[in-house]
Amino acid sequence: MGTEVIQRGADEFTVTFMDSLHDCLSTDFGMIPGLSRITIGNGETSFAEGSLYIHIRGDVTRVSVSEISFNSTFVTAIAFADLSAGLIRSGRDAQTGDGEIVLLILMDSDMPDSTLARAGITATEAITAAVQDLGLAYDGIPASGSIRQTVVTIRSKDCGMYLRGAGKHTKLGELIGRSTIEAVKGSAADNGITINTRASLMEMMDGYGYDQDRIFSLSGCQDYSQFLLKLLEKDADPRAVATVSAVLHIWNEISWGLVDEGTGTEAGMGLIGVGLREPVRSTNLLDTLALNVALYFMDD
Amino acid sequence: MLTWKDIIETEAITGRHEFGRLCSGITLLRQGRAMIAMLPHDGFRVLSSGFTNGGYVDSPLAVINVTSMGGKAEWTCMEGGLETYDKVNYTYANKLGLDPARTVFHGTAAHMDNAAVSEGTSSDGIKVSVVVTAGIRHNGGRAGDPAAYDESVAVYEEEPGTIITIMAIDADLTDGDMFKAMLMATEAKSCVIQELQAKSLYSKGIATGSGTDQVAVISNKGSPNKVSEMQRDSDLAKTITQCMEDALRRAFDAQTGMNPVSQWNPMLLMSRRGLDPMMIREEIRFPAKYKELMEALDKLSGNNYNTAVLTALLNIADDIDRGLIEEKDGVDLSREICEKLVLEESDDPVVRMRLDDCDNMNDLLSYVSALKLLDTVRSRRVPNGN
Repeated sequence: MGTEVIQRGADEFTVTFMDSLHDCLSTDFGMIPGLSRITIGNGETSFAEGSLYIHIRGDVTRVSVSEISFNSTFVTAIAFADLSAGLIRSGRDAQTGDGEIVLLILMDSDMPDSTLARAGITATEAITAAVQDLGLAYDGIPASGSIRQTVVTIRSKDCGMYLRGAGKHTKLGELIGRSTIEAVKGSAADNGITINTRASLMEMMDGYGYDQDRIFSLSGCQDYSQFLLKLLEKDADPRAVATVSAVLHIWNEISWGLVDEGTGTEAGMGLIGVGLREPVRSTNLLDTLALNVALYFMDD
Repeated sequence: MLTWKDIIETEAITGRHEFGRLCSGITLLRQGRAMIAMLPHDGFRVLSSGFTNGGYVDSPLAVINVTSMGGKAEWTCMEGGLETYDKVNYTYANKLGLDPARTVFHGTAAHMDNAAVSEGTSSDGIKVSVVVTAGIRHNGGRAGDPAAYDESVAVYEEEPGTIITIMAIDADLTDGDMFKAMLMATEAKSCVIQELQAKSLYSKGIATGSGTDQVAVISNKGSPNKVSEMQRDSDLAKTITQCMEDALRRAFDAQTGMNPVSQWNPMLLMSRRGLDPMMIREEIRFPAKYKELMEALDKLSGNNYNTAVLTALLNIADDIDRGLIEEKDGVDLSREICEKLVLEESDDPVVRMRLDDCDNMNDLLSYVSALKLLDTVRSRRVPNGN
């Protein structure tokens, strides 16, 4: 994009700036002037002599890069996103397990410190948008991010362009949003989570507290191998996937106070009846959905 | 034409009165168009994403949020770009009796009387307070949406409809943790917007914020509470996000009446995908008077069951957009849902043909809405049919 060199290695991902005209705003260290290098690797997070090192627990080869430009505005998003565990929704307890997002936003323009902060705001919204797009949930809660989230926004002082707006209504903000979403999803895919892997009844129900064993126990099936065969056959059925996704959405709407439980449950039961099977009612809409997903697997 | 200078010179500035309190001894004062978070001593550090005097600021006198002037004069604030905007802020600070150089500025179209304050205390005794003004009905956007302003070639412009957050944390935070707190508040904001299903005006998606949101985080450097390496699952982080969510919900409601009840409106929900009553009325030539149609529309809007099914259909449309399912699968399922859960049975072959002809979600939603409207008109004509 500008004067930086990006190097991918088995152990480290490195961005080296060929001049000392780059500054960054980091969630680990605040403002860092005169940045010469950023390294992502499995070592300890640190900053010394212009070199920022960011620790990740995962595989460095799964860092994803997205570069997008419009006219003379260039943005490169560099992300590592392991969304397989450790999800969190703002204000709620986090999911157990390791997971993390590291995001670097390289902007090929100069800007004030406040704009670096605003770029972080836009990038954070984009992380949440990517997590929402993937339909990730845990413990019955839609996720908004990862338990460990590092954001670094970087400006270039040598490009001659000075921008102050990085909100979503500016081109710079749009590029931050688009590149972040692309890079986060790219790395998440490298770590095993894509929209295609999400097209799974078991994956969706697992996010709402019904793992495979619970679904099996509800299915009435005595033979686990037979259950697994049915699961393989039906788990990604698009009609069932769309139905379960829609019912879970209504379940969320009930919890968000948009619709009362009685009405939401009635609508959800109707959807199950159309898209899955004649519903058998359980204690609430989520339990009803889980029961009917289990029975659906065993239906002929 | 009136300019911002004319307005500021002419407007009467009332005396300051207390609006509320934030932690760390910070007083919220109302004066003129401003909300002033007056800092009691010079031991504070602020990180702000606001344009004027933003970034990290040591020992500011005040952090303020100012309602814009409205009307044509407001647009003159942007003539000349953000440099003019800075001048407007400095001029207004002088009018308020504040030292502009020691004031951190934020601006919005929302009225300061509609600000909401929330406070909480973490399990380790750290107090957090937030004051928020909010409106996104006219400027909601989802990260990555297409943007109109290319600042590299055009004068910068702000849009009305902004979420302004001033957050005080009664602790000495590292600079990195102040940035973290700013981003945690941002994530909390996006969650509230998702829970309200508030739309982006620039795409078919749910918004994640407005285009021009600003956050200020105030750290009390003299506090005995030292915070470093704040974890996102810590109780302090939870307190920050919960305060933000609470204040934002109340600010949305106060400024624009946006709340779970007002958002549960089928026309509002469908408008996210560009569908409006006029388009729906154009689908079929209604054998009904205008008044009947409007009454039927009202009746339909009050049907929570239908609205719940509609949101399920919108979710299917979203799932198509994000690639979870193929369009044909989603439309076929949606058509069947509509026929079995929403529409009256019909033996009209044209209805059958037109339903089968819908090959995308917008066409289906529009036509089914029209049919449902017609069903509602007819049912209201039947004695005791309402």
